[in-house]
Amino acid sequence: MSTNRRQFLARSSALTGAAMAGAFGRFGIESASAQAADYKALVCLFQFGGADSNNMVVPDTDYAQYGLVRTAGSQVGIPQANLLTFTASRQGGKSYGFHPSLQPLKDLYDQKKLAIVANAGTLIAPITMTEYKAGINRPPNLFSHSDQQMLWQGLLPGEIVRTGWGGRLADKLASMNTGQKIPTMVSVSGTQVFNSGHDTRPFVIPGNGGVLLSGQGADAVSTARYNALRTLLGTGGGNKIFDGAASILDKSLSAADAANPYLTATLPATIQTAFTVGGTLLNTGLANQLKQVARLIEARGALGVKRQVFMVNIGGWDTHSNILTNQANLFGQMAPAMRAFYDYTVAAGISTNVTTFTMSDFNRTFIGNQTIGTDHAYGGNYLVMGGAVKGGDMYGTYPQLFLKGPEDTGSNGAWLPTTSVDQIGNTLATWFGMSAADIAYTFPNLANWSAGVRNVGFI
Amino acid sequence: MNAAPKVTVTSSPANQGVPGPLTLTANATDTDGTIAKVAFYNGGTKISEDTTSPFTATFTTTTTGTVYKFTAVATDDKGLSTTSTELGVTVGSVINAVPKVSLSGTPTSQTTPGTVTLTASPTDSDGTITKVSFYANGQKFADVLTPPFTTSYTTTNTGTIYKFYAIATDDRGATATSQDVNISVGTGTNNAPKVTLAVASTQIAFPGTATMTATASDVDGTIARVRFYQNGTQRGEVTTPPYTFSYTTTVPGIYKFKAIATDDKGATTSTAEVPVTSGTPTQLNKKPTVSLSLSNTLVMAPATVTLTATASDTDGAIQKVQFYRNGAKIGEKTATPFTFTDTIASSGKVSYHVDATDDVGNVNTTLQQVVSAQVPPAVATTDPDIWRLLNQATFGASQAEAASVKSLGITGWIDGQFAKPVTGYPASRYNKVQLAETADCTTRDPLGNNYPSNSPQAMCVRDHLSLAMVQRDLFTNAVYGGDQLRQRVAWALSQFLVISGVERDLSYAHVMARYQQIMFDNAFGNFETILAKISVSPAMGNWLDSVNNDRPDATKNRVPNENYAREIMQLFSVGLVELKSDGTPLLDANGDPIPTYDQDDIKQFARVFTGWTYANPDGSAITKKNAVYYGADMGVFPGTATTGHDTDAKTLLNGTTLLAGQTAQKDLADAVHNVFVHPNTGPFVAKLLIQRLVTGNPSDAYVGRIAAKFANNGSGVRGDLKAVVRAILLDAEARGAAKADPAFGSLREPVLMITGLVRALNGVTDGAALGDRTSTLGQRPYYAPTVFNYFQPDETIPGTSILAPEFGIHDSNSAVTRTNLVYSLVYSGIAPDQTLPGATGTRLNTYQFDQYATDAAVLTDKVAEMLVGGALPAAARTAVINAVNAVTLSATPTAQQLTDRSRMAVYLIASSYHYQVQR
Repeated sequence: MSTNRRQFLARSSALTGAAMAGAFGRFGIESASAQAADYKALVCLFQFGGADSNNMVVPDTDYAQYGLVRTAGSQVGIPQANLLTFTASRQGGKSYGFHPSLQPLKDLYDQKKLAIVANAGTLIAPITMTEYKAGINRPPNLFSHSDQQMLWQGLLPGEIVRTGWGGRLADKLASMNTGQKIPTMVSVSGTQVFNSGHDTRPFVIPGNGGVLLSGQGADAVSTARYNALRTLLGTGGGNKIFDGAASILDKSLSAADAANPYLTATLPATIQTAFTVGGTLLNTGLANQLKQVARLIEARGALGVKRQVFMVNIGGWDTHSNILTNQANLFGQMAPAMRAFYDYTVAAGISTNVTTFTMSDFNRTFIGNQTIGTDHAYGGNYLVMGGAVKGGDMYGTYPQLFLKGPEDTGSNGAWLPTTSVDQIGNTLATWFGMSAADIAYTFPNLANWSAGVRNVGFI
Repeated sequence: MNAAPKVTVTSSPANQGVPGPLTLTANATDTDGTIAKVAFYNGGTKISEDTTSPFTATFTTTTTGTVYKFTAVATDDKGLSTTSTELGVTVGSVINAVPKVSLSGTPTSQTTPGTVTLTASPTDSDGTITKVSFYANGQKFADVLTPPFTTSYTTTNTGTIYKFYAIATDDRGATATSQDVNISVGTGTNNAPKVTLAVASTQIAFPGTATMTATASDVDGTIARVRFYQNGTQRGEVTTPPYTFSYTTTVPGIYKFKAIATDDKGATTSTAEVPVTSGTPTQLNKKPTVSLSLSNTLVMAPATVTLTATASDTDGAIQKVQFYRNGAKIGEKTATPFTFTDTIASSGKVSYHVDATDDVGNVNTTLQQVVSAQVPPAVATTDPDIWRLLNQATFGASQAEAASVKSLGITGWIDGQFAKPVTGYPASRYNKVQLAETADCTTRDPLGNNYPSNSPQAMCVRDHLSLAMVQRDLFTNAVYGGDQLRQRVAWALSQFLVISGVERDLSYAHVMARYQQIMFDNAFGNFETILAKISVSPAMGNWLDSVNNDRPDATKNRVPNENYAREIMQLFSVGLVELKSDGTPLLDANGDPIPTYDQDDIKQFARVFTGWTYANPDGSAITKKNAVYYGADMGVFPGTATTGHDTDAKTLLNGTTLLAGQTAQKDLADAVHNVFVHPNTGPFVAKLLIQRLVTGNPSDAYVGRIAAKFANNGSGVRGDLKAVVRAILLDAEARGAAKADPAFGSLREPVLMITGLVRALNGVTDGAALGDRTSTLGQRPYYAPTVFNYFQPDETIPGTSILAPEFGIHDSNSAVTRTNLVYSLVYSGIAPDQTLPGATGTRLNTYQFDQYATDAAVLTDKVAEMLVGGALPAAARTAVINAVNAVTLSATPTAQQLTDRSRMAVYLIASSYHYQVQR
């Protein structure tokens, strides 16, 4: 840990107090006419628990290699006949298959709106297997949930991570959001390392509904209580601690006031339609989170934001047992929700302005365990979705699924990543329009890769 | 004479991920001639020949999941040839199937010693068997490399059973062990023993004792032992007749017993299970379930309290519910609603419980819940200095404690605090020194059913095998304990000498309690003592890996774990950079900070903290690296040239040398002393303590004054925490009427925020669930996410460089949650937990203000006096008054209207940063 790494970035913390609260009616929706023409949003979907992406994208041409280990008897494999097959020109034109529960995403791949990044993971610098085995440039605490979540989100190995790259992106994007009524970084996934920057604090919203103070209603007593609470925030008399703490709550409440009308209103028709599948409105945890994101994107003009970073999540991927049942269930939630969100962006005319990408703690071991699951491993396959994505292809290098083979860090099939999180982040940040300096600030390890390979090229 | 050629073969690539072409290369030499040709073979099939060097062949593999076996045969110019060692090339992932082997022996028994023929039948589904080893009584006596896998053995001792087995090895090194073949000599074929079990009675009382006798016999030998089992768990063993056994039942129910007899040759026979019913039909009848809900646990005397019981019976009906006050029955109901209203005439504590009786007379009772009846507390003072002192030195200022300060004076009060007996977490209370469930500390009864959650056994699991009781004690001691200053300093120390329940073993009550007791016991002691004690604490040993840490082992390229070495310097004593005596960094010629230590220093310290292991539970001398035990300090285990304590010389900070050959204990004490006397440690510790007690952003001069006191308490003693704490609290920067510095003070930590509310408002709490509440604000007590605490000392107020550690956990989410937590405590409180003896839940006393509630201004001022020790600023006061007035009153105000007004005022002031910031 380095305690002098802290940056004291000048940023006005002038207390707005109650003045801001009264800018427009607390429960009124402002006209959404001023839609920002220049708008871009990144949506991070974190698969908590370490998703087994060996089963998300399965080799078809080389299925023999896969089937040798993930046999029918192992009960951790997908039969070849069930794969949703596609070809990937960047993988020598070989054929692969999506997990059978991913049909909605497979269709997007075919439409070239979804790309795969193969064998990605947390890295400090490019690494060879020899270096890995010698402990050179090997990230700390591999295979540990908390550490690897922190590393995927924070990218600062060996440090007590207090900022994540979503938050650091937001630090640098704030200047583009003049007049914003909610923070650049919005988390529907609680407070995570990913969404705190040096200056940025995320606006944390629940998976359903608005950010609510207890005891709030439309009655006169509630209103009086709320008004007094806001007024009290401005009575610090110049005490910096009072004002600093009050400012955090004040901004949160202001953001809530701005956002709550949109988070609590009847679901807009574009979102309703996109999230209705087979006559039923999707109601899974992830679908609801993405509806929340869609509601705020829908209100982007009124909320005064041109660049936004969102975080949503789906948990339950720690499939040490019963992997096939669990994965079918999880992919069965994830694919329609992601697809619905994409369809919403199309309907809203902003499909090329919104890019969604997945992250997870790590991939899982290629070999199955005794409890018909798989255990913690390393490099895995990830998805990038959106109208701007150069989809219909697989980027990076799909590993040889070969126990003790050249890409296995041990003997159970834990692949040494060939693409780093920094490279993925840089690719997205470049699309976002960030300067090289801002990118260096956001992705601390990126300089360890040569300039030519820093952009993975999927967007 | 012609010498044979030599040849080896290699493949490129050595192995393949997918089938494809590979190149075989032979390295063939002949000492007395030349190589005429090399032929390459795949198994028995020739691939090709090559007559010129380099000798190569190409081959294309086709089958994945296979090991191809290649050989090269070199022939010299005189026609003599040599075959290379077989080369295996793996294509794809190969999962080697384990071989199988069975063993048979003839004859199956012998009347006299002689030859036994043993035949192994090994198979390997994906390869060949390369070896079968035969064992007699654990000793290998033969290896057979090729079929038939048969060997013989000559027995010598009569009256003996020879135990044979075989181990088969396949071509990839996997092994399998056969079943045992027992061949008896001189005793003929062994017959299994016979055994029956008779119970004295199949119906016994509860609690009662089931008595049983096993009758065991063996026609061709003797009975070695009889073991008795209850519901599958062995409960007793008898080796000589009579084979009697008794078992005392612990819960009513049907117990199933069986006996297993073992003869002298190891054969066993089990009886069937014999059921014994313990308890009368009434006892076996399931007890009713009953819970109690009180209308409130905090009232103003005189008051009424309504008791509401919820009772049901799964196998009958509720006959009656009885209500008790302080153990004496006060009422009875035979039909729903099971409610009773009691009147409390005067102030004090009243315990209530209820019991429910079902249709067979079975009774179940709730635990006691306690109601506190209060009279309006007095306002002792609005002196801001007294109020501030109490927020710095206790778990929250209250008018009751302020009265004490007023009468003793500030110095007198502080000195009185030094003399208060230690509350803490005594070992006598944290007396379950165990990491696993035991018969008296388990959620499952002996019959495998769940104990009720209010049973002693289940409560034991909650209280002793988790940190639930420690967290409850933290809050109740903080609210009620007399040794406020000691607790406050211990809590401060626990936040930079951090261990955490996130490490599994540290989430057991006795482990955490014993560590934190070091802080309580030494809060006014010497800092060097604390460093020494935590350095041998087994909890710390586990947490920072200094336990079972060995000296360097060059043969294995292993070095000592550096974790504790690093953290004792970085976090517990000297910090990262050289400091001036006022805590500001020393700078080098370039204006850069100077590191206090480097990686070499860490390596030296890592070698100091070697050779320690867990104590033996019985206190006996340590002879080896021990498994976990947290009931006593770590001790030193005997080392070797590559294990245990590193006895080589070490060089510590500032050039201090530890001589070779010192004991682990001496090295540790010397290293602790080395960091303790480092000039950084005074300002480092001084600043951390000031931050936790007084202000997040102390002046350099303030730090300097406290560091000087750390260096010398006035009597030449360094590290005297009593002198340091007194100096911190009596310093001019802490004391005085009004604080002009706009950065003075701190945002209350979540724990202090809650204890402060309960103390200021004369609330009641039993501590239950409060740790869960503070954890939603980022402070789960004794579960810091890392050794870096819940938040770090260098956090700042956003947009400023003002240090404010607590801002590390104050974000948009937790700020709203903090406000909502206050709302929930003011408007609802926490109801008593049915599984906690003497539960009160947590309630704030807002009722004390109801008498003023008709006048919003008076009400606001009274609440402010109790909560913030004086008047609010005018604008804040007006805001609260306006909100209170929004709660309209009838011509004759109802009690609810008055309560709502009181709550409004308390909520707004308590959630405001006038209360939330200590300043």
